[in-house]
Amino acid sequence: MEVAVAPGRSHGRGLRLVRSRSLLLAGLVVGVGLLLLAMLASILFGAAEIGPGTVWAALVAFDDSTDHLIIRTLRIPRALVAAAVGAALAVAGGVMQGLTRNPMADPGLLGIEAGAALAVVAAVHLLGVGSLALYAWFAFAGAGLAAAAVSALGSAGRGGPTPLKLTIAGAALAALVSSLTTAILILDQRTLEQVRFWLAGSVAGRDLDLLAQVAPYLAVGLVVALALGRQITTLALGEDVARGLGQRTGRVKAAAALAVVLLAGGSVAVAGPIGFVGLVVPHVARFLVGGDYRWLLPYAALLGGTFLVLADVLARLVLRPQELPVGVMTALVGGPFFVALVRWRVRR
Amino acid sequence: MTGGYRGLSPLLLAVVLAVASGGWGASAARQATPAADCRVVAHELGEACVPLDPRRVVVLDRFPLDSALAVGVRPVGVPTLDNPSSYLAPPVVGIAENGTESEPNIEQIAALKPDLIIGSVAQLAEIGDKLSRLAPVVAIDDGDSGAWKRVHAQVADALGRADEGERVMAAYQARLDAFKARMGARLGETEVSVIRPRDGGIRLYGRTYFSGTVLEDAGLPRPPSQDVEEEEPLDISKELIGQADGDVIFVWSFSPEEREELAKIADDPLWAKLGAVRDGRVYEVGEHWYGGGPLAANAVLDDLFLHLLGEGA
Repeated sequence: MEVAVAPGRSHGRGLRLVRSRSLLLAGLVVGVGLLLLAMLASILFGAAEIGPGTVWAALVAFDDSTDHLIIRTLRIPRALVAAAVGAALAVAGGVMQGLTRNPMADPGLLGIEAGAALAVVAAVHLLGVGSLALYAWFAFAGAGLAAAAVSALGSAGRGGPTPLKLTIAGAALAALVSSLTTAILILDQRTLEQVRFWLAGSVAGRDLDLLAQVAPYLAVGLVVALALGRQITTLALGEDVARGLGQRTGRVKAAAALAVVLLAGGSVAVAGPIGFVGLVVPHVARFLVGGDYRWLLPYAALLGGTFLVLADVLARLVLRPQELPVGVMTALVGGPFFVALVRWRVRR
Repeated sequence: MTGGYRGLSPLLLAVVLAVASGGWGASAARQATPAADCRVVAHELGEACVPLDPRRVVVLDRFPLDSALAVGVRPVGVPTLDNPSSYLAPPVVGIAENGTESEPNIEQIAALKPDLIIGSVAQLAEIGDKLSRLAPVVAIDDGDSGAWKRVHAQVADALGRADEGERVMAAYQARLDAFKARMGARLGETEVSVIRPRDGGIRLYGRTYFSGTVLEDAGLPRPPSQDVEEEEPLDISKELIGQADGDVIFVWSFSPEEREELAKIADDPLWAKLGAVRDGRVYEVGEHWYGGGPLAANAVLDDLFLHLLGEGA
């Protein structure tokens, strides 16, 4: 019976749950079940009152009525997008936290969200871009460029890319980039009008076409991240420890950064910048399974998808018939939750 | 903070500081003494002694600008209109710009040597005091787009053209009567829906919005979702798109970029389900439906004549 040990001492004296492998696998299955339940809730509840019978009919006996169209063209894509983006962001956040050995890390640390926002705002301001699909590509490009810039900045000087340098470089670049974004938005009222909703992060109105286009990148990022589980666990023990154990830390870091850019960049491209998922969900996963990233990342993926789907359901029900952007909901729910989590861990 | 909001917190702080540093409110009850060459006009932030025949009028806000143009005044300074296809763009070609509506540029205003400045309460609360050293300042409360008739009367009065202002409104009323006469029995049976697709949902405009007042003047009924006295538009989820239906739908957009978004709506199968869409009675109209004064109202009437009666303006 293999025992999964949590080497996460550096993360504070968190509860270390020693679990058997079969228990962990069972947990994954439960996680999948929870995710599917959440998606079901997302399809059943919304601004329009649609009964479960109609929902079922929409899936198996489609008759082109308004209700069926709502289910198929609005709610199902939305649930899928939320699940995919939530999973991607959570895994990206987990990888970032392992990579930088910083429990407060999230994909935004590499400047990904800020870079994407600037790219979209600049595209609207300079080129008059108007459609979500085009936003997506600019967002992805901006995310990639920002991550490259942060990595380059963080690697300059002696010692290569250390977590501290990466963090500082990321914070500095994000501040610079978001001040540029704010400058454009102040000067150009029209751009502000157009993008402010996108900037809040939302899964509304994202159709399956958009998701399908971004899905390959998300999939590759996910595979790379999961494959790096063992290496990230070792890296999280410390740079010297990892090198001492024979790991090629440079390569691992590069591959991990690539995974983060693909996952977080793809998520921002589809849904705009959504915060707190990458920050909070890995901690919940860590609480459940410890610091072994081979398990932490898959759990984070399932929990992240469930979390974002449920946040989206709440966002639609809280101010009926209006809809809040899901990015607002994740902050509202994730913020207090994170405060509680941090205080709990510090106290222990 | 993550999630793209990082850049906004310094902005919010700056706003709070700016508001807290006080405005014109303290000297709101500014008295004005009448003199031979000016008359006292009471306005939202006090009184001003406006010239009897203003020659160099600077207007800071688009709603009063509409009314000023309607009574035949050509200002020497207008706010920057960031929409080139605005209905206000043609009449103000060649006029100097004095900053945006959200940030009037005091230096540019001073350079224009105005003898009367007209702006909104929102703009003048902060800078009205400074501007009043350049010229008499009249502050109009134009926050409520449905109250455009009052705004028009106030602007006309400040410009010393109250009679002309009334003539403009009488002409508008005459057009309304002609419209109602020509619609005849169809008038009561043509429900007009006014919407704007925005932010992944649909925005509905009620009776007391600018466009709503013109429609009400014209005697046109509204669908139940829009038969409300809300000054602000109602945002609904796309799932409730049925509420956007009517006998006729006017879809208005604020800018060319928004018009591109509209083109995509046409492909949406949920949109195709609406009765008005199936009957082909959906009309795209411009930003004069957002509001203004008599010029905008007449432009809206033009759209009504064109689309509901098939008569070119």
